[in-house]
Amino acid sequence: MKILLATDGSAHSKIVLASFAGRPFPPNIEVLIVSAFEGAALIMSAPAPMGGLAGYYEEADAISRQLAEDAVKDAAKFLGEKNSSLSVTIAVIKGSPKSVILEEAEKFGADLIVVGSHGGGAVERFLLGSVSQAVALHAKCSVEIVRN
Amino acid sequence: MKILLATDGSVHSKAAVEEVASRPFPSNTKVLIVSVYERPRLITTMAPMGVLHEYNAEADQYALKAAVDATENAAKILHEKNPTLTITTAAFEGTPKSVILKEAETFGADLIVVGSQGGGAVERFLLGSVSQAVALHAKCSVEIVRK
Repeated sequence: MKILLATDGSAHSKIVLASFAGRPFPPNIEVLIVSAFEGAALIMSAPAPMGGLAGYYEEADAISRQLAEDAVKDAAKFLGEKNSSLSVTIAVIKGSPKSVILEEAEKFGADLIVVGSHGGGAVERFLLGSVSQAVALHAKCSVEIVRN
Repeated sequence: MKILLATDGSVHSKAAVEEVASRPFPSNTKVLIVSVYERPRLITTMAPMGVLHEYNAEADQYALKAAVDATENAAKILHEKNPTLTITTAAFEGTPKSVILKEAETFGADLIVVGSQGGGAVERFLLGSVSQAVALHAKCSVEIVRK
């Protein structure tokens, strides 16, 4: 069975991970932990009016990537410690989280996508984050939305 | 762990039942299998010729029986594949969205498992209205099973 676990390193993602790691699993489970980061692509493609902005966005991009990498590495480490029988791989991909999660799930051949009900950008009052909603709607496989 | 499994006996519901049946769960996992049937309330209150009442009463019986059958079949599959689960079944009359959400809260479910579509679904829809409403409004985790 192949499971794609999406994380953005947010507090809620950590709850999802803890709940996921504590579960019993059948043998031969492959878990792909994915974190997507959004680049400032559109803004960057416009000529920076003052010359200084391009460098600023490059730096912001690098920081976003680093955060996403930290998120997947922390998640993989946590999962490995809690459940050594799982075969875990990680991926950090630039793009809109909705599309990245759906595309990676198809490429990976996921049987199940696990997402939190909210990510780091969520207003707590919303019932369901836009990423979780889009994934639930458009995925070709099963989707689990984890709430705390 | 407490799991509410919703079924209407449709193909997608069966996929959800098979999915739950094939998975290991912590010991002391309780599964409540729920099936909801709807009554055509509005129509039954205004039968113009007298015959419709009986017709609807009979249709109701069939709907109830189909709901009970769906839960019992699901319970049978679950029990065969995973005898360690504590399984209870319940059939309700009402709106599936509200009943599933209400029963999940009453039961204290940690997870609600639904099929991506029910028996009333046009296959082309990406996600049925019941699954969508449950994903949106549930207080606990929700798994949407696709086949």
